Amino acid sequence: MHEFTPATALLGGALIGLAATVLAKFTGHVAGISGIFDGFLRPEPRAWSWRALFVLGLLLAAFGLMKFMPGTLVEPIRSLGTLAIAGLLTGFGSRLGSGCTSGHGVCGISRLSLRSLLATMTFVATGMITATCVRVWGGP
Amino acid sequence: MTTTTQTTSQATKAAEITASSNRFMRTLVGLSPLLAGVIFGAGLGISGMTQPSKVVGFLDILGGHWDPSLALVMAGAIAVHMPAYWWLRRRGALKQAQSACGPGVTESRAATSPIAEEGISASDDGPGRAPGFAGVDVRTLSGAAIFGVGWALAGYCPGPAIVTLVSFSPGILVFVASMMSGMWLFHLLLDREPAQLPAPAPRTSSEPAS
Repeated sequence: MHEFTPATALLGGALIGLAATVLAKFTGHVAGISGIFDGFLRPEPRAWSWRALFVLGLLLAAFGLMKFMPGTLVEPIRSLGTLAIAGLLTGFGSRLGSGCTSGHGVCGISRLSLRSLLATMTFVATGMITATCVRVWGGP
Repeated sequence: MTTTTQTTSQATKAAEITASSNRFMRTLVGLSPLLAGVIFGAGLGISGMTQPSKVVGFLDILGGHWDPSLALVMAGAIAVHMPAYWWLRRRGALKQAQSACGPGVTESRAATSPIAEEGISASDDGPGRAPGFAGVDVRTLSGAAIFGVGWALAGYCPGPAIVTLVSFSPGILVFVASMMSGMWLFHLLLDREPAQLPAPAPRTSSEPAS
């Protein structure tokens, strides 16, 4: 369950970096998933199509994973109530903070944005505190 | 006479080839977000980030079974994207995003980009220079803090959650639906009007071509 998988982690990470590079090279956009998804949900006529294509690409990849690497798509590990609260916090926080793990953690740090570095350190820190609390006080 | 005809037909042929290769390139560029999405999604799956137990296993640093995989995913992504981004940028080979302050996107959208101005070239001092404290504010950091709590509670960040949607498991449907509600709530309560935004930094027209 908690096995360290350095090779696949690095390979998958490199693919994420490649994807961000493709997007930056050909469209000039930041590969921040929360922003892309949010913009996809709130259509703005001339900036919608690239976001829709990106989300479609994610889903195409997901079908590929389901077919060829079924072990990667697993059931959530929390109760529905916890997932509902977690989803609210994730969605709200990613918009208030203008980014998530991909936008701040990968793209922002790569672009040497101090703001993104500080945001990443912040959500990793609160994430570590939360994960510890969940373990100590019982999984929800 | 014959020579002229030949030359003309050759020129036409060459023009046709150029036109079709241009069409091909335009299609390729137009579909690049799709390609980026596919590669990104595959990367999320291969890296293990669609498995919440691996995310929680990284965040639960004192749990006794620490799994540093997530750190390597980020390191791998940055190891590819950082040099590639700066190399392309130095060559002036990055497409200038139209979106930051350009047509089609409101300024409020620009403000919600992870990097204060999409295409940092607009705001910083030139290639190789970090933009300093630009955009570091209470909003960003409190948003990140809230995001971290949700991320650790479920073990999903937005990308892996969207990828996992195809499993149609009730839990992921609930998570993504409430993530969408959270985003909607933000726009309802706290989205700044463009008028309240600080004036966008003047955009330099382009990178020095080299």
